[in-house]
Amino acid sequence: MTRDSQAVTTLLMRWRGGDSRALDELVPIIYSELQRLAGRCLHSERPGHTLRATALVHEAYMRLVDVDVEWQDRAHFYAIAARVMRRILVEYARAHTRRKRGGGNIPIPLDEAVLVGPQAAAIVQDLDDALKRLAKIDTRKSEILQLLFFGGLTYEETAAALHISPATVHRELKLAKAWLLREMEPRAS
Amino acid sequence: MAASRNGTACVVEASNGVESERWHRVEELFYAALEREPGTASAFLQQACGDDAELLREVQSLLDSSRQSLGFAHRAVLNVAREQIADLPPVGKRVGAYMLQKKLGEGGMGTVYLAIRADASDQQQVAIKLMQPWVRPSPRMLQRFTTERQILANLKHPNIAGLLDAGMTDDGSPYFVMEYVDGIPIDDYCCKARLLTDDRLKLFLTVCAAVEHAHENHVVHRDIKPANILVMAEGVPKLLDFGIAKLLDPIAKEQTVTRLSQRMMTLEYASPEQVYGGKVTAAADVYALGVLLHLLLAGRHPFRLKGKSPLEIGRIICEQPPEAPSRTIDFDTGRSPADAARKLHGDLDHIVLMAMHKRPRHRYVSVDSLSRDVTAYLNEDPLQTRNYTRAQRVEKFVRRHKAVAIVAALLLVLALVGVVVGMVIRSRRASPRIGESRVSGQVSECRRPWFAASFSPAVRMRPAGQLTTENWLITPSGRRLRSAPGSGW
Repeated sequence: MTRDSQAVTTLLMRWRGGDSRALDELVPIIYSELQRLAGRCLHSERPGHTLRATALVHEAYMRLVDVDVEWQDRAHFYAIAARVMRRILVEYARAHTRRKRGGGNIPIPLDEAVLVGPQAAAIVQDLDDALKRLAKIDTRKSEILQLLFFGGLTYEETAAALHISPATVHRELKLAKAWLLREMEPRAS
Repeated sequence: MAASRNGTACVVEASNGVESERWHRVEELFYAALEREPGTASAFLQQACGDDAELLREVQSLLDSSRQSLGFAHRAVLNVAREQIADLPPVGKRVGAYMLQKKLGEGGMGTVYLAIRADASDQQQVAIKLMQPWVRPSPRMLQRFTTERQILANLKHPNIAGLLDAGMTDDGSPYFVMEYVDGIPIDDYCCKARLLTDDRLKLFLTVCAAVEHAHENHVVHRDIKPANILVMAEGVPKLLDFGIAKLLDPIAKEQTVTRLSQRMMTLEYASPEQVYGGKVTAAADVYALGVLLHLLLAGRHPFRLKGKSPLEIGRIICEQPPEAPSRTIDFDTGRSPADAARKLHGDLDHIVLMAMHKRPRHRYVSVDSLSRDVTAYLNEDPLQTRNYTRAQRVEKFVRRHKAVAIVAALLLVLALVGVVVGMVIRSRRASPRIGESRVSGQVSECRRPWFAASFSPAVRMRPAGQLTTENWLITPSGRRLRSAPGSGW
């Protein structure tokens, strides 16, 4: 545990210092920790409660990073965690859709309250595609959405991770959300 | 929608200075319009965009979307995360005294793994059913869980996969350790082994015997379906998950609507009373066996449920009368379609429809009584639960006693022939023209009626005298001869 947290802290420092290879080493460590935590989190979850991605990432952070690192690094950790989460979920959604298409299950009609299986998987893939398109037009807005969706960050944490003010996050988000909704409109209705 | 998509595509394609400038313009106008009163925003935009209709459409579509919620996408992300985590293979994980080896399959409530004892004291493989993480019993259910699992552990039958152990994992989900059955679902087996109808019925009877044994021990299965009846290589069927549905039912009932829809994925074999939440008794198993029998005989489920919502499926199960199997045959039975339908029509239709009656009290009173009817059908006996017309009874009798019936029919024909011949002879005697021919023997031989030729054994044994063959045959001694052994009749 201590060795891990030492390693993660060092990697974070290196990444912040501009060493892009540090990220490649960070991703698998964070990946496995998130999976482990998420699994435990879900097992102890009571029905009706939603999985809180924020809590998950926070806990991963507590385990992986030395407590005395500065706030900025913490924000960076969240940013990486969000990126990793996105990658994990989109890959899973893609595999899931492929598998479900072959199966002969009785389809459940699309219902806002019951987004399960193929529907949820398709939405996650659409979301990923839309975020990629948005990144080409406006990288910062795409990043903000990624942090909120996949990292479960608050506006303050998002602001810190991106070195902008919470007010800017708030403002940017208005257009970012509208853009995303317009792109995903067929799914929303 | 199409217009806005095209608009976006333009922006995406060119990320050069011009386009980025345009995006900034969109941004500016978007925020400016947001700050205005809803009534004036539209006029403001029209004025600001001038004759750039494309720009106006772009900003307007974004403003329209800004009033909607992205909640659906958040929920989708969470649900995919949830599903993925539930999918993580806990292989190598210890459950009770066992170590999980590999995933065998997945059901609505849990996932089944192959496992062996962790302390390696026994290499025997077992199947462990781990409940989905959301299946969590409350403390008051635990007591019931403990007593019921003892009843299940005592259930021993060669066609029931025994429950070896059950308990709670460290994180509080129930698990079941069962005898590992290496087989395929009964419907697949029937197709692969190309079983004919009678063999399918015999296999079905074995399944019934196992269910009946459980009922005698006051255990109702509640979830009989092909996936829970595996047939091993030697053709021996084994029922899985006996009584587990009942153990889990109160837990499942506490789950939210989301969970319910997952549970409904297995509604296809549920009885009406299970759908509407009535009292579930052994009659529910009789119903499910009826659905199973329909599937095995017709190769198709009695209701068309594909693509229907759980709600519709529930309504169909409770209200719609099932079609008779003879009308729904949907596989290669090795006979012509008409023959296959004829085989099922009548008794087998009756058995399936009676087992599947909407009201439990109109179904077979027990699995045993269902078995008795299937056995009666195989023996070509009349079913105990069916009212036959007189004609149907005769037909049944004739089919059952084929040999006896043929002999009886032949005797009847011969008796009639005898009578006819006798009458012919009498009328010949009365007619002079025929009397003439009797004088010249040769002519008589030629003109003898065709049917007399088949009486040759009797002719050979005719006692010397004046009697013609025909006349002799209808004398008392001739009648004796007809029933004499070795006469060839």
